[in-house]
Amino acid sequence: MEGHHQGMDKREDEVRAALAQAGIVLPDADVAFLAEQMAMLARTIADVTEAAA
Amino acid sequence: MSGIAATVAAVRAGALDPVELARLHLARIARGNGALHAMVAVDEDGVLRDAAALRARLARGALVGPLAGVVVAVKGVFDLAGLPTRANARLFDGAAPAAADSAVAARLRAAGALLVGHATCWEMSVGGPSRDSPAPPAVNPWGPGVDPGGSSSGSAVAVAAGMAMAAIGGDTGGSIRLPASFCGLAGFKPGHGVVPMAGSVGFAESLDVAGPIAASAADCAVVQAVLAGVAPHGAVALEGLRVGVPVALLRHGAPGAAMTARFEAACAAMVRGGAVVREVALPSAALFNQCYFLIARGEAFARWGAALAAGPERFNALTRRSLAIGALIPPAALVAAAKVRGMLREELAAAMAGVDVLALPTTPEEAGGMEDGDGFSRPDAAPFTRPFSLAGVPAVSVPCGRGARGRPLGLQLVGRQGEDGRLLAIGEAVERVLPVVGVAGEWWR
Repeated sequence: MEGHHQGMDKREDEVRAALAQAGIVLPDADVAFLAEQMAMLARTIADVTEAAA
Repeated sequence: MSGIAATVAAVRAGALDPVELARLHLARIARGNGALHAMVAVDEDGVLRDAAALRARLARGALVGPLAGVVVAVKGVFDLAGLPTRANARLFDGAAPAAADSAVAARLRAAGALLVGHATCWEMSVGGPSRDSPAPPAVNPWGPGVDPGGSSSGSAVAVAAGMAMAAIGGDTGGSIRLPASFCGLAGFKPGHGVVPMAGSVGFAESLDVAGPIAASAADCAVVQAVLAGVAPHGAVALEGLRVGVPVALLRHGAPGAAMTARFEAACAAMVRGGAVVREVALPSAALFNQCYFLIARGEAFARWGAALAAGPERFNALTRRSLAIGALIPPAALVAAAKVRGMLREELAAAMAGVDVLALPTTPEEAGGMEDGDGFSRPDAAPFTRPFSLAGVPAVSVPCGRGARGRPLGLQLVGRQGEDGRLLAIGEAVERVLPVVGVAGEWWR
């Protein structure tokens, strides 16, 4: 579980950093939601990018 | 003759008084809106003024338009002169009344429609049903606590509860077809660009369209002809109609048992009516929805990202999260999505080359409850409607029966690019052979 939490923390930090680049600061609950969506989003981007190649 | 066409004929003949029609619908709003939350702004003075003006024209023997006396509700993202356009968003708190009608409202009003006011919707058409918006979410007349679908939730509820004869919705990925299906109505998504969008609060520009929700495809056809500025299409026979079933998309969307049974029954009814139903290939089913997801989120963020950065507290959580996903999509992925979109349009055109329409469910299941959720922030949400928004082709949902809990289900028919009127004529032919879903009980009165 500790590894899971560390992984989530890392993803949340990545989300915060990406949002900060757009000047956006969101509540922690929103960041946690978005962090959980990152794997789905990465898969979606990979599938679409591969189809375009 | 459709219900709306019959009403217009009766108004023209002097058998129905437009002022009485307006009063009847205002009274229904007054009775039901406290429980159903369909309307956020009722223009009582305006609709009675327009009705009285129409009555005077009729008394003079003047020509009146093709929607004379038809009471219409308009989704709260389209400008109505004299009312603020709030799109059910705190972002538009304090908005001044619109100085002019949106293009959609102007066409309706010029055709003699009586615009009764703004119907509620999901915040800016984006997030989902939320109690953290200026207006409470609309409730499906088919039961207390039942989700009416969205984002044009109030538009469908207003029609289903008899508060309006037709309503205008906006559809980016299913927002007309889904609530129409959940509320036992017909809903038409025109092809992209067919109906002008000037004077509206948008979501994703390359996907957004405006279209009608009404009791039937026949009623939608009368309203859509006005929205598109064209003459209604002539009748189309079911005999010999070629219907394609995109089986890969059907598998991808995984409809439940009740929807599967109603869809198969609808196909059988079309065959009995003389149609030829066959499977067609649409192999990139999942990719349609993935590509839609990236483009919709990317465009929504491009439009609203600056406002999100300036004041995230002005959006509810569903909208904040939905918009913020767009900030996480790299520009290169949006370029790829644009390229794939072109490929998928070609795939759809090839699938439709040998058929007149595609047929598939509108939703996998009947309506559920109204719990807040983030379901629409996922690429697998609304699997049957988003592909045709991505492709920009017309699509109509017509009632096709009820699910296990007695709530309506919808059959979606998809037409070729540029064949909006023909698709609605096909919808009229198909709905004649489908079971009558009926109307919701009036528990809210």
